[in-house]
Amino acid sequence: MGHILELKSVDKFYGTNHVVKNLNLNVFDGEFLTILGPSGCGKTTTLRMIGGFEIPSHGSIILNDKDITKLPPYKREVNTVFQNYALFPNMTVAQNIAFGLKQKKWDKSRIAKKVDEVLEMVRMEIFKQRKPMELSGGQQQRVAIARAVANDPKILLLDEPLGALDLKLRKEMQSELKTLHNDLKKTFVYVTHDQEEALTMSDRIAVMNAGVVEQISSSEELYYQPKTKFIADFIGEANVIKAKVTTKDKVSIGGQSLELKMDNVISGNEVDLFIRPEHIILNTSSGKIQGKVQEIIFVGTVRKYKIGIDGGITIVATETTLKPSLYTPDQLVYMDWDSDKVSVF
Amino acid sequence: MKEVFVKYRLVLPLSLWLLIFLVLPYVFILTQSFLASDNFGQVIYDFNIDSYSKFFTNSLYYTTLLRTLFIAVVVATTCVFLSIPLAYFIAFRVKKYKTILYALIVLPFWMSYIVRAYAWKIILGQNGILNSFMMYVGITEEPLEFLLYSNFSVVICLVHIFTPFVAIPIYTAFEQIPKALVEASKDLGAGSWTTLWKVILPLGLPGIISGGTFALVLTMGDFLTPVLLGGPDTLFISNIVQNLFGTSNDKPMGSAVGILMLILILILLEYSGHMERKYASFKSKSY
Amino acid sequence: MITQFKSGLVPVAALAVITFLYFPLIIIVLYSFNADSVSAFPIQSYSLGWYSVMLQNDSLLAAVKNSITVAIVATTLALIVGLPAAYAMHKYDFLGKKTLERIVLMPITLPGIVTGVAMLSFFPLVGVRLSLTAVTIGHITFLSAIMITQLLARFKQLDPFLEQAGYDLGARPLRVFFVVIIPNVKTAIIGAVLLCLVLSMDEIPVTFFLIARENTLPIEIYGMMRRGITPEVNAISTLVFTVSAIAILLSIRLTEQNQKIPK
Repeated sequence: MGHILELKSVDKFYGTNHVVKNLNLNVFDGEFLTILGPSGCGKTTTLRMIGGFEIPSHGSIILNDKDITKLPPYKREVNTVFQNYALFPNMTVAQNIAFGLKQKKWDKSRIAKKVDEVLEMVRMEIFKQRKPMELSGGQQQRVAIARAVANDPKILLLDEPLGALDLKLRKEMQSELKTLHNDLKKTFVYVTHDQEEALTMSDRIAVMNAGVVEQISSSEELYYQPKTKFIADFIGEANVIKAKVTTKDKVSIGGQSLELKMDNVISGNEVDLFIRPEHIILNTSSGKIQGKVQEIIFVGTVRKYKIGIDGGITIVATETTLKPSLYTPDQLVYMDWDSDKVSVF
Repeated sequence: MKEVFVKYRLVLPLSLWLLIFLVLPYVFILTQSFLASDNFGQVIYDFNIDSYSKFFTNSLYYTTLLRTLFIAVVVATTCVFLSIPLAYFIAFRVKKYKTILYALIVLPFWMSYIVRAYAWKIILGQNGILNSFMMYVGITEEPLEFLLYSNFSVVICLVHIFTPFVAIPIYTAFEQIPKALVEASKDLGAGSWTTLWKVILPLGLPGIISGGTFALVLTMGDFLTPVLLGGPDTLFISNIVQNLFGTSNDKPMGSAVGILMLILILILLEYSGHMERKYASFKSKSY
Repeated sequence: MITQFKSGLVPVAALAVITFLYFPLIIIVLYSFNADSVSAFPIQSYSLGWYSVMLQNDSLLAAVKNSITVAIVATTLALIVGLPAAYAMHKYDFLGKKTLERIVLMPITLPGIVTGVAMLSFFPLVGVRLSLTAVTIGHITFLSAIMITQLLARFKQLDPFLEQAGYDLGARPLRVFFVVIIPNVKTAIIGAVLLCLVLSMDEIPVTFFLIARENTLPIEIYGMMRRGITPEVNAISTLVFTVSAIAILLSIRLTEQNQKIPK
């Protein structure tokens, strides 16, 4: 698969506010790429620059080997699904979908055929003659997707499209979008602040923070091998444990010594250890460090243990609830883990 | 893209129109206020400040201005006192018929000025409806004469005309007060009066100032009601302008009075805008 | 002990104020059907007499015709000048925008009499003699202010993404303006037009100074009032009320309806 879209050293300033910083991003043909980050990280601005609603301050945007950096939106072969759908309230569902095709001067019968085709795809055929106001949020969402897809864009841009829906509907739409992506075999660039949404749908995720892409990788890699502390913190639940480097390959956590392979660290420095709760194995006989069970919380499929160690540090470990709990509060337990499951920042 | 030119092309007709038919006329009377006029009312191009010095030395001018200001304050205050219960009622007491009641105060806002003045004339006249009603039910034997052609009739008519102008911004301000604050006040043991006095009025103050200023400024600019309903001594500053451009035919003097009126009104508007911002408790206000 | 308003106090006060606002209007309507020529209480007998007197008053009818002509011409031109300007003022930042915004508000905030005498003094210098034409020009000037404030308010409520969606789907700016923007502010435009018609029909301060021999309706009524009480004014006023009330209620409804667009 080759690149369909390249962002080369893109910068965007609003006045003195540097919102996107030297961004380099390659999008593969046909992939589902998600730009994930907290609000204000520059993800929406990036999407809007691809859509043509913002012009980069520096750098260039290349679509299919063509420089589109300064092309107005109506000349770009990309289409956007807007956050609040932006359906034209004065037009019916069918007219909304036909809008882009009319601009391309398609003839009537061809437009009608295409409208039916995309409506069938999003299962909205019976709502063809309705006005957007008469539809529910989920239905408006489908129409917005259909309207963008009808134009056969090189890339479909989606700007937090599920943000306005309730949780249940959002889950449904996530799997529908994924199916749609598989069926259409189109490139999707999706923007969200919801990590779970990103993890479930994407082929690759680009995590943005403060205008910078910190890591681009698959969901699993992002989850298990975060490259920065921000990502470790932002994605999923994780223990970030303060530790002090004592000698080479040894750290101290709340007075307990622990062997750890590290690169380029100096004795006396503080480091953060990162480990997922589900990677901590509890037992009563032996392990890497010891602590006291403070609290046991039942959360459905897992049981969560809060374990306190000296120095006011609390570590969270989880266990499946298939087995009954072997531990009780105030009990001393050992925590063990595979060395490759720990990251150090 | 040629957007740069597009936007100027869109505002050009309006800008030109306003320049020729609004800005230049204002600039012109400003200039004219520094000129003189001969005995036939012809404007002479002779730069002086006589008109302005006449304004501040001839008591006719400055006492009229002060009287107008006084009546304007009376009118504005009365409008505010009438508007507060009305706005309070619609904002806090009504749920179902809110739109209808709101339309009821907006409607007279746009209703014919001249006809409303006419209505008060037939109501308050010597043989008018009020007098004949009072004699019919036996409250009085003789018609009351002070009702029409007096300061009383002028004030009542202006209050009637300008109350909607005052009620609308006050209502808008009340409507922006979160209902939870009113409930919180009552929850904390404050009665309705205390809530009104300590919570609603302070928070609604920008709307009250804005509405009051409307009535004040509109009264100062009014010249028809004094002519139609006023007595021999009811003369507003606007009537002086009207006469100077009409029968007295002294346009430079008229321009000077007009300019001074304008300056006073601009100062009032500026000051009231400043007070509105000062007492604003919520963002995004426009009345 | 919590002191509640005596439950009736607020509604009674509010009702009293509403009555005060509507009482004179009701009087006019009632007395337009009064058979007597003296407006006294109570009305002895009802008739449509004053309406037929009104229909025979040629100068009154001419004034109605003049007012309608001025209102239609002035409103149309105010729309032509105001609509593109309001759109540009909403969408773009440009040199002198703040100044323009302030100037636009002048005819609304400043007293009509000063605007009137300023126009009276200046118009002859640019070849506009006192006439219905001068009145129309004066009306266009203040109506464009009304038009712009009304339309700007509506443009501000418009979802900015609608316009972007138009571009995104391949429509150029001019097309987006006519196919996306205009249809979605259509009701606001109609509302503003109705409002302008009503305001023009009722305008006095500016008209008063620019008029020559031919009168508009409010100036004609003003003249009739100065001559004494003629109950045919009740009749014409009732008609004016009815028409403008319908226009205004329609205008309020149209402006409101449009705010219920899904977000």
